[in-house]
Amino acid sequence: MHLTFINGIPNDELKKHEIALEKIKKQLEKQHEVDFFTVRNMNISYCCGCLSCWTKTPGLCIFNDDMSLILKSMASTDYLIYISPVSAGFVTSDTKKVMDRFIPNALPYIKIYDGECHHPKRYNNNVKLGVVILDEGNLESEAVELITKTFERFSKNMHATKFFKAVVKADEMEVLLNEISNC
Amino acid sequence: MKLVIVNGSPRGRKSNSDKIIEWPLSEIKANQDFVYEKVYVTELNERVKQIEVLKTADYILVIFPLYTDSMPGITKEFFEHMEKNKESLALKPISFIIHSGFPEALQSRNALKYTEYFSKLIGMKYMGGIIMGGSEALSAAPQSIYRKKIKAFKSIGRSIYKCKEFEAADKIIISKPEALPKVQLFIMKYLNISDFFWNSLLKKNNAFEKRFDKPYL
Repeated sequence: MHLTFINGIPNDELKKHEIALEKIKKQLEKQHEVDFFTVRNMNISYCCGCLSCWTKTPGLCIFNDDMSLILKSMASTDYLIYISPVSAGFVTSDTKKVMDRFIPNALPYIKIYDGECHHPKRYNNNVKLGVVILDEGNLESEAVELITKTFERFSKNMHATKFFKAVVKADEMEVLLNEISNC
Repeated sequence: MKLVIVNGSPRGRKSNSDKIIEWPLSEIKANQDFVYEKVYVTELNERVKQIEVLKTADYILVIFPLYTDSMPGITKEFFEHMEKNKESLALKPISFIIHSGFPEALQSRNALKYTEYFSKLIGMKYMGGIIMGGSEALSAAPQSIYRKKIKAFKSIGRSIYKCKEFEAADKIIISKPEALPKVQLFIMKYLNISDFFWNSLLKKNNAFEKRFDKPYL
């Protein structure tokens, strides 16, 4: 499988989680094609809402920055997994900016899916979508619920064939291995 | 009373958010004891100054467009700064307006729930939230079709000025439709009205032939 990970950890403070993720990544690389992106180490602008990617240069963002690496990976991936701690009750702004910048990979048109308006996808790959919420021991259930609902909706917008959510402490990262091996 | 408006649009001063905010504002601007100031989340290097402006507010009104089912990333970054400064914002009244390109309010419900949670999380006083769909058509459509909504927005303006919670009736008028009625779903399924809007933009930019391009394959 082709796996794409978006790591939205904003700073160096989650060492244990990051070491655990590195181990999982190495493990997965033995069997899969793994693209692992750590957003804070990349040059990625916030979406500016210009819609160039829909109306001027279809499929290409006006910013020629590191996001093109992620978009390329997303265009052929089988499983896209966002990893984020909770900040201000939601996923981090680093995580959110990558979610926003996904739209070049969608078409501008609005179609009806399950009685709701959504955009069709630009690429034909069937994507599974996951969100891994990192638990630092102080999670509020309301934040987890809101993030989960957001990604459930996001998975509809991405026409994901599966939605997966996990809340994990640093020593529980193996759930990711289990999830991937069950697919 | 000093109102501070947080414009949470990545389009900044050219945003639909700036147009929509004029509707409640127009109703209360004339009051002698009323002043307002706007801050734009797009001005990333001004965060320290912007937080100082928030501290001077008697009431904070946040408006943002829905981006992938929640606030835009740059707006989330602003919220993170608010959280870091929550002690100096505690107990101030705050309310939110979320607008989306999709026509149905249901697309924004979860984002609105988040704004209520966020307000409580940082110890502010949540006064209510509004959802408005169909905002991408705002510059193309005649203002007359928004007549009822503008009237409700003016009433929202009065609620803000009086520091009262939003009226349920106003919220309902502005958010309509919650979901698309069956007739409209049927029409949209077989007559792709939105295609016309997007295709005309693509043609104007000489990009119509490339509309289904897959540059990353």
